[in-house]
Amino acid sequence: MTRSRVNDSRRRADPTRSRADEARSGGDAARARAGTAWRAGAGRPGALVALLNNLDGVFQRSVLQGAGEVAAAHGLPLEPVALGGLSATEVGTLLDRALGTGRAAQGAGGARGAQGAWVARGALVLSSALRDADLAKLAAAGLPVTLVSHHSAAPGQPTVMFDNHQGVKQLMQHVVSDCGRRRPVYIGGDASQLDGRERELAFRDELLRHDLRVPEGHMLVGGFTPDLARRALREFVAAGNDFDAVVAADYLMAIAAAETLGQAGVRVPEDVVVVGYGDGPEAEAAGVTTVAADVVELGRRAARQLVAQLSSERAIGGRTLLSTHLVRRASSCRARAPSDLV
Amino acid sequence: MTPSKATREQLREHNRRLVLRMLYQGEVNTRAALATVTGLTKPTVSNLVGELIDEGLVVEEGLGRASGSGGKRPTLLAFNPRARQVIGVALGSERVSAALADLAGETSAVHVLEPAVAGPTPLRPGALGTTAPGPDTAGPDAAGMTKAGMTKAGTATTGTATTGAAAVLRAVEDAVAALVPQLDAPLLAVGVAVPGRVRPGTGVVRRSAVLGIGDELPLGELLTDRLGVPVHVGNFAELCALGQFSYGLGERTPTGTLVSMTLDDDLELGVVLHPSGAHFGSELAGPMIEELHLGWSAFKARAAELVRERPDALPWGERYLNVRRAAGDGDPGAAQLLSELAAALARPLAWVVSVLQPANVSLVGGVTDLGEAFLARLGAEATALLGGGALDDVSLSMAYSNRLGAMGAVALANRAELELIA
Repeated sequence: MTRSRVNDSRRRADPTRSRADEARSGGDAARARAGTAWRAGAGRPGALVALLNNLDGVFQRSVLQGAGEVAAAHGLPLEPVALGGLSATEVGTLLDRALGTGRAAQGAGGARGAQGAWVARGALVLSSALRDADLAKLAAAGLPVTLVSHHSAAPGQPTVMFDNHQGVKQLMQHVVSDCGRRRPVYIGGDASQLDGRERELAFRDELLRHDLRVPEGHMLVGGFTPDLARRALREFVAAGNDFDAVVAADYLMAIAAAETLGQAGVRVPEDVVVVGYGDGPEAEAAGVTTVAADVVELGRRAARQLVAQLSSERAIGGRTLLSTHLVRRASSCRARAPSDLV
Repeated sequence: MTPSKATREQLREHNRRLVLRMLYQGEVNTRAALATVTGLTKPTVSNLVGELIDEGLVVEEGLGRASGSGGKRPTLLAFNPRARQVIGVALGSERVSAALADLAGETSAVHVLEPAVAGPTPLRPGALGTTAPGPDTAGPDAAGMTKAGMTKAGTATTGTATTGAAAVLRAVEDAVAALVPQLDAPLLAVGVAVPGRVRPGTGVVRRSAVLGIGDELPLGELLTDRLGVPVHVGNFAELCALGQFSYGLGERTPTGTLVSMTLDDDLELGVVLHPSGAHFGSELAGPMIEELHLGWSAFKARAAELVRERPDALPWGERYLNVRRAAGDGDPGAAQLLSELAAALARPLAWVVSVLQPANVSLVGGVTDLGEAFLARLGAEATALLGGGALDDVSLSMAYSNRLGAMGAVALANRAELELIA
């Protein structure tokens, strides 16, 4: 058996837990943590809050790091509030208490809570931490909000996220046009999250653009969780399916896929090319091809957007999409010169 | 009246831009070479280069080789594309997209004003050459299937209308304001791509059916006043052509005259002439185009007609991508639809080839989702109209980018500010 460079790498990715994994693992601990964070004064006068599912995920930590840098540069504390594990009712109650539902007033320093205590001047809402109804509540209270990789139906709540369509297009162009692979398997993210949905849609559109026919059984469920991805791909390989590329909705799942293939005696990239969305030191260590999407930078950009809202007369909605670019590594083939216009 | 002489300041500004242009174009990279090429004295060049370095527009990049006779090694100079940024805005009836880029056209962020989310309802794909992100209804394989989890997620919307002068001004202001927090360098200028007729070089929109502008609108002037930076306006197709000319046509930079045919809300033609780089473009409107049934609305209406005639036609929805797929699967209705579109589009293509004799014709817009097979059919139809061999010297291609209009607007702003327009 020929082992790939990817799987020969001694610098394996650290076992990291995905966003969905950690959101699900919330339970009582997360509940206690969330309550503690809120009671500890998140949203005190002049602060920005980051509302998120959990405090431990790679995605969340990275966004907080970047956002924290920008907030600090503006003299604003950024206080994370973990909501994972809380029921919708509990989250709603927390927001009601903090904002004074129906009676919140916008002042120079931010939204005023029902008890007269000042709450946050603005909020970053990460991924699917809040439901539409909660976001509408924040909008009604006049609290400046910037969403990170999430969408709001409420007007004037802008989103900052990576350009999922561009990134998946770059990955597929590389896999199909550069590497000549036409039987890809897709390992999807969490369909409850905007990134998960958009990347899958983009992948399906790219199949059409490249005139590829891929059975529905080649759409594996990974849930942004390396262990799930590993298990799904192991079963897929064991079933004797024919494929020549793996496209994963995030790079941690791509690393898990490359490892799984190596353990199954499948050569990467000779037999199967492996690519994933997003990038991090783990992908570099594992030699997995990605489209670079710096999550710390995402946090910085989102915080910039939020800080700008604090002094803006009107909130502007829409989406700010951050550009991605292909980072070719050992798990795929040589890339052509990148086009500026993809 | 006696023409006034250029003032000392005007002359200095002219020389400064001349030096900057030489460095931007990469033709020379030392002070001595700049003096030789521009005819300016070495002290003048040194002063101007010093100013440009102070402004961050030029950087020193180590030492070059000494001349054959030895002597001091020259300091190498380079244009710094990151010293300023520009924003390019592409306007459409239901979507506004804006790109933030540096002076080399490298994009760091795009802002899209459109309340669309990933959801189960297919969205209109035509606007500004973008494909709607909505999935289709269930089909037999990965490209057509919609997962249960996805059908529950989010809601789809058809977007916000951007019509009328006030709405257009507001949309550009909003798009620019949304990107201002993301600036990494001072904003140099803004470019705006407008579907419709634009008076060349003036920033005046003569009319835009798509944007609901019937009377002349001095868009460039109004926006310059409001935004506080120079705003340059061009026709959408013109700027698509300029974007390709400036930043590449897929994997290659086009040589020879380039024509972009954008088929979105309307059919528009944009031209960049070789070798001058002069560019122009306009919508093709009126009864002639209506008769050809070109444009997304006409295509969608025809697709809906087909579905009424035969409900099993286009089972995955009325998107260009789905029509392509259905035709590939042998659906006669979809194949007929593509044949009709190719035949209709072949006529303006034949005119373009006959009149302008371009080296490159690039199809732009949502229609590019129809793929290479459609392009081949289009070429065959045009050849049938013109006679054998008529397209032998023409490179017919598709520009698969939903950023082209905005990037063309970036190119316009860059070229105008750096005086690169011939």
